Amino acid sequence: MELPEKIKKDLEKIEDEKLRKIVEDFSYKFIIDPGEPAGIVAAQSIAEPTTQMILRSFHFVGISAQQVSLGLPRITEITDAKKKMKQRYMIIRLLDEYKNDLNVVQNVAKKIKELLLEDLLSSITLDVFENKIIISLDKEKLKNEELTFDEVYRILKKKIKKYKVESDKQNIYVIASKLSARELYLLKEMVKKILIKGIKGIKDATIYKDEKNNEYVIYTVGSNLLEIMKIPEVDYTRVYTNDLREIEKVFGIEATRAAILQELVKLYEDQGLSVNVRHFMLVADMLTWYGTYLGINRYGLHAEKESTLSKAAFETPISIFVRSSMMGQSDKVLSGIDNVIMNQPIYLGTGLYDIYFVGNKKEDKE
Amino acid sequence: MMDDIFFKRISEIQYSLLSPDTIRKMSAAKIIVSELYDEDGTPIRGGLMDLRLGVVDPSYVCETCGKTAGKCLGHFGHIELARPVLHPEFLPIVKELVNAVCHNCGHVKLTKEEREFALNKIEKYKNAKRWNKLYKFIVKFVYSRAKKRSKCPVCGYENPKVEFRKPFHFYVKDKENERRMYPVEIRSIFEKIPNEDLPLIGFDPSSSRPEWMILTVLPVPPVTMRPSIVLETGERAEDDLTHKLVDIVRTNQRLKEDITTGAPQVIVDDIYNLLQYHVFTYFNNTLPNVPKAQHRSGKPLKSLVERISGKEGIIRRYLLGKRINYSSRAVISPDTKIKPNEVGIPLYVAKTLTVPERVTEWNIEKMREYILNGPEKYPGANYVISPDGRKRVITEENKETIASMIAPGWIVERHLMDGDIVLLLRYPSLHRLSMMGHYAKILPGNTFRINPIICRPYNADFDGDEMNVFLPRSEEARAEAEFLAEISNNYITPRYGDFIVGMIQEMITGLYLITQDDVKIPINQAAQLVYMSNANDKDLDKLSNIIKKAKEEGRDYLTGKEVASIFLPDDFNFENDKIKIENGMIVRGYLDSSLIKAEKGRLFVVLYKLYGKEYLTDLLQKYSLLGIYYQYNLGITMSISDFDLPKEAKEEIKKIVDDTQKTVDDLYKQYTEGTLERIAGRSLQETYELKSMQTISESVTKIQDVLRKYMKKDTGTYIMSVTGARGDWQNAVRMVGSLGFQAFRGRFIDFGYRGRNLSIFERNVYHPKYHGWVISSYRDGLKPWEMFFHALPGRDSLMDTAIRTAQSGYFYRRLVLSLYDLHVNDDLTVRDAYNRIVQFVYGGDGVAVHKSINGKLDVNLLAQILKPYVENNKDGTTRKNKKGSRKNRR
Repeated sequence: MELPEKIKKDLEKIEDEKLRKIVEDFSYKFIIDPGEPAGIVAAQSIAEPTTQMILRSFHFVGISAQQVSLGLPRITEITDAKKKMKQRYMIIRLLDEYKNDLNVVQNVAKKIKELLLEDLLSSITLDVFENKIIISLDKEKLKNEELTFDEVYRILKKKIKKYKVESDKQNIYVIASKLSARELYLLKEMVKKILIKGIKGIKDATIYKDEKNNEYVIYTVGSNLLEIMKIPEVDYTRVYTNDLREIEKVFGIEATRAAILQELVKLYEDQGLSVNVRHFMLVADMLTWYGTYLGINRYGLHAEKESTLSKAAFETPISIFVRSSMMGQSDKVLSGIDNVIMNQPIYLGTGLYDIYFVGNKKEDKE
Repeated sequence: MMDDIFFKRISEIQYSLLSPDTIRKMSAAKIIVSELYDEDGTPIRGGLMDLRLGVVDPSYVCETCGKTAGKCLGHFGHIELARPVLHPEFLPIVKELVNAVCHNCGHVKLTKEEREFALNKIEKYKNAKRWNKLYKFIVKFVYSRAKKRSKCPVCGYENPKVEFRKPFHFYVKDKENERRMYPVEIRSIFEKIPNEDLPLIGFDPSSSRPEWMILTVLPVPPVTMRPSIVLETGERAEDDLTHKLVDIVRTNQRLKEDITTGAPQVIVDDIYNLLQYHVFTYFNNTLPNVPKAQHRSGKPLKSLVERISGKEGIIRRYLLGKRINYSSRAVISPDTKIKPNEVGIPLYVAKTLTVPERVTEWNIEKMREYILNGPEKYPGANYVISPDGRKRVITEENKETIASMIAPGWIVERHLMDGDIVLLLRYPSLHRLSMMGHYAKILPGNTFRINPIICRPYNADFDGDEMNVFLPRSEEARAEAEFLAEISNNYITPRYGDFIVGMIQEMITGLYLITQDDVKIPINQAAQLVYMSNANDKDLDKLSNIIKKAKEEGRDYLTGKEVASIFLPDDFNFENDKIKIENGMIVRGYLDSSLIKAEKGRLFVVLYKLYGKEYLTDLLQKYSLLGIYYQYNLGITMSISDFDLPKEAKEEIKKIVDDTQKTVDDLYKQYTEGTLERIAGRSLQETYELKSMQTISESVTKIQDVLRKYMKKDTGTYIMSVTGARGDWQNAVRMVGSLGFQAFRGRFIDFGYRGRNLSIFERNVYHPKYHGWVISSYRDGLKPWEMFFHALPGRDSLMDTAIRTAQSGYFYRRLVLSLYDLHVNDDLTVRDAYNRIVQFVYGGDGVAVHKSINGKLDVNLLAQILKPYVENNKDGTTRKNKKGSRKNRR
């Protein structure tokens, strides 16, 4: 067996040849044994300390303006590959030339903050007889956001293409003559959510001074990676989001793997629990192994398993048996659980290898 | 007996639906009678307890295989159903399928292009064994498209829409007329589906046909699966399944009669529905919209589905959880005098747990001795097994005869003895270090004894914890227990690569104190310490050398560092900011928690890698004893006066508290006036809460500094916390300073009465003093309201712990079940059970965490440690490979 490349490279740095030889020989003592159940060890190493995790109380003042899920809930969020994450946030850093200019940073923060029509309304009502929606805007709010009535009207006209949008300088009307009352109501709800300015999904943006790197950073509530990266002032190589699904969508699966790894390492470090990075690597690799980011639950990784018994041992065995028998599946009994159920030695550790004795005598075959 | 067993490996499992023909073929009896027994209690032929279905009653013999109860595994029977009946678990598929195929020609309602596309896709997924993707594709593409189409693209027939109504009725609209579609009709439609269309709807033509989802023949499980119990009163109590089957047979017979006698349609329909209901609840009694089948007492019957699924179901309870003999359980207690890799086992347990030992011509005399001692006298033997497999119990009467009978080839089940390997387990087994191999040490008493230095991996303490001992009985199992699971192979935790066993409690204190700079121990006392610490010959040689050197220097004492160095190897070199060891002597620094404490133990990792496990096992024990005895001789203890503070300190603390109070009052004023500057993104109240909590926690830190300055340095408590053995400054502040703010879920304690949390307070004063600030310390005693503030988060955290254990348990289960197949191959790749590569090199560098130093292979560190071997012209690698003799074996 040869040492992996990475270690060989390190070894070359030792100048004393004799010492290098000794260290090299010694290095073999560190290499993992074939048959080692790396998966189980990783799972145990990650899951065992979760019982000790603390729900952190009030330690940050200032650092983050919003609640960020931590500890066990966050781990389950990552390993479940949840589509709708609860507390998404971004950390946006600007290009070198802007990063110390508070004005620019404030501008960017203002620019990205999402502003919906409902934030500007003084009222929105339905006219069921004439089938129209009456929108009246709050002048105070408009002023605060540096918008005029006409601007909002234009944006609405642009965004609502299906129906006619009119204005009489007082109110804006959306006329949808053919809709039923119920459909009109749904339309109203939709109109309320129309984006007037900013970036969709960015609920709030606050500026903090990063003392370590001596720059201003923007923390946001909500996340929209692609749109944020398009902003010219933003250094898109240093944008951070905690939404792994979004990273998958924008950057692809390898980036997701790296992000999962980073998130997990950070999570355990914050809790003061030491877990070797190799275990997280294995989990991150497994979560992204199928080419998409799958969660560890009965709809994700467990559903993708080949073996029926392995799936059945997890959850909902009946529907799994029904499906397998319908599709006429066949299992080679290779998986650990399958063999435990069959009461046979498993293919792990010492079970992975057989010992053959080569004798002199020719013995009869059984 | 042994000859009956064939050791074959199951290599493949094929899943398929049971066809009516298969059910008839595998059936041993056709069930036609709903009665179980006749008047004299013998099972009726053709009834559900038919003797051809197997036997559970020892007074009968199985009519199919001729074996007796216990030996006969049971045989299936069958019921011919008068009319086809739906199967509840296949109902979702039937619902989809009946609208996806043409009722006229049986083809799936797809166009030629769609068909080709789908078939290609299905073929691809099937070859890749992506079953889940295949199923999803069929549901999303085939079913959804075919369902929407009413006109069959193959034959042009206009299909009516079939509607399903709960719980099990199908209706079809024929030209404005609505009529019920019976399972017979559905079945005949499914029969028309041609074989080449089956892959499209997810079926495999070689194993399953869709019409088999609708039952015409019901398999009857063997009696052994549903045994009846005879109660004390002599009554028979039948299994839930038997009850349900009786219902099915009875209803089926009635339906059959009604059909043949030509009863009115309404009556036939009623009975038919009843049969359908019975079959449904026989399979699954937890179906929504179906009333539960009950006992006469009102307790719901346990159906087949409930037997299989869930935590208490067959799969998780019995197939994944195996139970074994040759195990024992007892309370544990500490014993520093046994080695870390031993476990003290009570004599009583040792006489019950037996080790099978094969008689050979070399050990036959010894074996005879054991047999002659019998089961009562230790070390004796309980059973012998002759080469033909017969097991004999050794008694006082027959022990002489058996002793004379044994010959090479027999197996003697002798008592457990010192040096036998056993597995020790403590629940919850959260990691693999929860179950490790230990050498047995038979001791008087009734508890298992373990060395306290190995508490950490098991997470054990001695407040009533119990542990289990298992005895590996085959040669392979013993070998694995000894060479893989044995605790000295597992000193380094695979979680982060440091020593998980190590010094705890007063051992750390003792070792810290003995290695301080000015420790002088008279030679006789030093020698005594070394002897008490279980020194071996090599250590004593080193001791005498050191004494000789000391005498040459004119000293009548040894330094503490010299005493602590005695157990280190002569050629060991180590250096970091804490300690410097040169040629096996501590020349600078001292031992403290970072070097020797359990879970840290940097010093031990290095020694372990260099000198091997046998050396370390001994060293751990020697050091623990040295530490214990040294601190024992010093008489370190703890008392309330350790926390006495001088006047100045008390004043300083009071000043800090007063200052904090002022700041908080100020904040409160700003808050009530609304002038407080808000933190971005937070409300005024949140800002106020956060700021005042922060102020108070800062005050606690300040008090800590005061304590550092003024607390007596020579007390037991102070030493204990400085060495890292137990306790820290936070604890000290709580004891003598101030408890600080008792936040409840990160906020003020704000509930109970209207506007206040205790009735003694004024209403609507949102000041920290009334919402969680505890100014007193434990030593001063808490004010009544402070006691409540303090108890509240404590209670909350208990709840939190209870919830979290459940959550993390489920997380653990999911994680393990998704990763358990991954293993390292001999080319260092990580692969799953099907040999698919997950990582090309394990962890990127192939380094095993449990074989590393602090989780990595640091070449520079190695170069530093191994450098002396170059100078001494020795080979560093060979020395720890020296075959250590296991001294504790007989």
